[in-house]
Amino acid sequence: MKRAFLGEFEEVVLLTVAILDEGAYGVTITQEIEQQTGRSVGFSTVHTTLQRLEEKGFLSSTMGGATAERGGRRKRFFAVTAAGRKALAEVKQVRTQLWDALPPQTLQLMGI
Amino acid sequence: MRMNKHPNPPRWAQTLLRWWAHPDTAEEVQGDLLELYDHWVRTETSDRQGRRRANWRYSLSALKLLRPLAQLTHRSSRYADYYQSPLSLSPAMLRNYIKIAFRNLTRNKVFSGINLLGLSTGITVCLLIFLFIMNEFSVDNFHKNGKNIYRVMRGIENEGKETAVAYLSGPYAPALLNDFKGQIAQAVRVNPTDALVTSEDQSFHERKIIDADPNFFTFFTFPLLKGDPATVLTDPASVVLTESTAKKYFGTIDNALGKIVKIDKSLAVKVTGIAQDVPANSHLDFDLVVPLENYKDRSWMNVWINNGLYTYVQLAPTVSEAQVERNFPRFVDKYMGQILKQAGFHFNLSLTPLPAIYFEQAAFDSVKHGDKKVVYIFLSIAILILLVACINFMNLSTVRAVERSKEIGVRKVLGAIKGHLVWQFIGESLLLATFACVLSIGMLVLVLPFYKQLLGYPLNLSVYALPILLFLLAIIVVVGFLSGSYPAFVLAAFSPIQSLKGKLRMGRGGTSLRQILVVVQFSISILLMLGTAIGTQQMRYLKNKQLGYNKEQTLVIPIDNDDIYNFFLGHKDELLSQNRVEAVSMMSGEPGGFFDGLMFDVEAHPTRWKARTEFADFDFVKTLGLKLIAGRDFSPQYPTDTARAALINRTAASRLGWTPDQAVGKWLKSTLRDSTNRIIIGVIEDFNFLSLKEAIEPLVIAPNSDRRAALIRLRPGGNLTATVAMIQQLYAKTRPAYPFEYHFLDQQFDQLYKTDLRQQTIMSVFAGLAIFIACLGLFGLATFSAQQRTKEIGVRKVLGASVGSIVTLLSNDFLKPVSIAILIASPIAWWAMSNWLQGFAYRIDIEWWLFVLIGLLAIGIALLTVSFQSIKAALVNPVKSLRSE
Repeated sequence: MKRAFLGEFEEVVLLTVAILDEGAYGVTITQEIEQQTGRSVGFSTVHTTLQRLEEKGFLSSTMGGATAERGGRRKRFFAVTAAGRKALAEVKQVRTQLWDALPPQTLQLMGI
Repeated sequence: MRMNKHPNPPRWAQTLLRWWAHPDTAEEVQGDLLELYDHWVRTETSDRQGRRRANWRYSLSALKLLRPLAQLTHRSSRYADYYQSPLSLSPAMLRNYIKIAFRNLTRNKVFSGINLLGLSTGITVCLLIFLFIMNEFSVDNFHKNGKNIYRVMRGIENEGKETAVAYLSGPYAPALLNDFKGQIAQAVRVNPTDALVTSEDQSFHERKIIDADPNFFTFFTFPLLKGDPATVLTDPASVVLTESTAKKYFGTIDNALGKIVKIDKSLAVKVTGIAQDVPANSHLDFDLVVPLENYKDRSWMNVWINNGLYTYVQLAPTVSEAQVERNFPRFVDKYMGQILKQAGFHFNLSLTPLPAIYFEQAAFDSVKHGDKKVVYIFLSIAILILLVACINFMNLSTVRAVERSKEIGVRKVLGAIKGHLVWQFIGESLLLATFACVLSIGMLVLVLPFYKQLLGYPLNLSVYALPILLFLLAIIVVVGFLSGSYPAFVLAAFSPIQSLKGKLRMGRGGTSLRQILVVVQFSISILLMLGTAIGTQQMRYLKNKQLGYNKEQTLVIPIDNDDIYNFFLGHKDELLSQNRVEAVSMMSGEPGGFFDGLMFDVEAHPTRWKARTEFADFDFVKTLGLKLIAGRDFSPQYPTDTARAALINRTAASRLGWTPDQAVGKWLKSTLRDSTNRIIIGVIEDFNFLSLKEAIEPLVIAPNSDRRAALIRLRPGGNLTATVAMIQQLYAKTRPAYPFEYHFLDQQFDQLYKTDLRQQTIMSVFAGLAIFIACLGLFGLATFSAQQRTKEIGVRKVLGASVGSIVTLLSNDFLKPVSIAILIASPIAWWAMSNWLQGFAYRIDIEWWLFVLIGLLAIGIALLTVSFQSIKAALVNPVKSLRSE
């Protein structure tokens, strides 16, 4: 089975969507990433990534109701799909395996 | 840090994003960026710096999201089902459109009523005119060989003017067939005549008899119910009756076949065929067809120079009219060169195609004619009236748009694009036009009997069913689009926010365009009114014009049979002895009738001179009450007067270069009819012996015996019917076979102008309808404007305005376009009617007061229409108008 490749930024975005749960849409996702990672992300990058993830089937989206503050425009809310959760779990498992395989002296060197 | 003014991202970036961002995600992207922008502005410490940075970040993101840079996705396909494009043609939408259209129609009954009434009246008028035109152009279109059939015309050139005459003599047809072998395939001679027809023991004076060659029924397409078209007239002793004539004589068609009828009591012929009744749209009209062979000894059958019958030729399919006409001069020279030179005439033969015969009014013949000019006048009236009705529709629809602005707003908010709305409104106007058409068919059926009476001939609706249907379809499309498109585009352009807030005002542009349309409407109406008024004035002038002769109390008896001829010849003194009879005269042409044009040799004139001629007995001048201005009248005291004397009219004298007194004693001689010179014994004052459309021509009155009509002048007063009965009794004593037929000279005079009068009447009806439709529209506009300004009027009244000033205020708006219309229409009408008047020899001057009168009338009618609404509005209690809301 060909596994879907999940890029680093994609992983971050996917995780952020999972964190935000119900309230995940363009703005909150961007802000959350900025807050959590402390790095400045362009909205356009987030937007493109979200679209790519949706295309890969890791995210689903629905339009929300109209809001007053955005000039009456609706929000697109994102949610992680089953495939997305599976992909995240896989990534995490791979990471854990790799961490587990790390020799103890290296770990000590890293100060963890 | 809060700002007083809400910050906005740079406009150019917003616009770019709106135009170029991927349409599928445009909405949320724009929203997200706007939200982020707010966030960026808020989180920065310094106000100015923050905005700049936020602007910068916004613009950068926007640029990155533009489509060529932004990633293209396959979302579109997925969203296709989700975002179904609003299809305006889906059944649900159609149902909704129709429902809304009907609701709008029923909700505003006044407007719908005005719209429908105006449109359907306009369409009815168009239909009526369409029928008339169809009928005019359908004349003679039923002949199978019609394309190749021509009538040979004989043109007489005189003083540079050519008059075409349809009457030829008998020898032409055989000579033409002989000399133009291969070019002229067939020829037929037709002699229109009248005769006494006796069948069994009844006699009828038939006026629609034609004597024709045996190939008449194969040449023309007059279908036969009985008999073979090829052989039905071969035997000289045969006759073909039309269906209704056969029924008149013998009861049924089958009964008639093989029976014997007598023509003029002498010629016995057998019924060999029955023809269908001649349709109304045929220039030739007949009840009986008799073989021409029976009259082969008559002079008009043998003498080239004589005239009496029409000659039709059918050209071979490949031969053109010009090819044949080219050789006509040689033909004339060959057969008539000698005699023409002797008489001083010059003949030009020409061909008239069959369809053109009906419109060939100038031809001196007795067949049915129509006037192309009238066709065009009617056509333009139809177009003008339809235009007036369409303008009504446009104005009322745009005006009502304000009421419908909420609907338009809601539709737009719910996703209707401009195109949908345009089609909705065009659709509505198509629907209304269809209604109007259905209504107008009803109206047509109602008014058709009156229309037939006005036109003076029958119109068969069923024949025109298909053209009418097509015409109505065309009208629906034209009217629907013409009148629907303007309101459609105006309405569809409304901004939804404004229309929903109810802030919508019709723009200035809308008002002025509406006023221009009203100007157009009233210009057309006033034009038609002026045309009708001037036309009527002219006709009245003609009717009352001093004719120069006495047309009252005068009987005209056409001398068209031997009985009546012998009666007048033998019993003239007996007639004169009656105390009610003032004068009796026999002549060749009664005033308004036919006057031969003959060539004369005149004393001291080297060239021959043409004049109209009247052959009359000695009592002509007395009977008509003509005025002698020089010399003396014919008198029995001078027996030589019959052969050696003549009277001329004033025009003749002046044409010959003489004063009336000089003319007396000079001689003249008809090249054709006189053997000796005639001395001019007197000059009479001019009188209008032709139609008043023509100028007075030179006239020579000579006592030759050529009697075609008799006039009996009665003494004024007394019982007219009794006198006529007395004359009839005298006639009955001679045991005549022919009935006594007469009419009055003034009747005949009216008859001359009957067609003109008819057209006048139709014109005035149409002009009335045009102004009616225009007023309907004005009424609608006034109603609307009164409604719109209810509050304003209320406020004005509260502040002390009088009813009068408010009425003036409201009416002024409408009087301005009407006044402009008067200014536009008057010169056009003046120009058009002066052109029309050129066709009359005696015409009125167009007077300025007529324009003033019609102008005042138009203003009056408009004022009356508008004031009804404005007075109503002005009288409303301001408490009521101001209390609402």
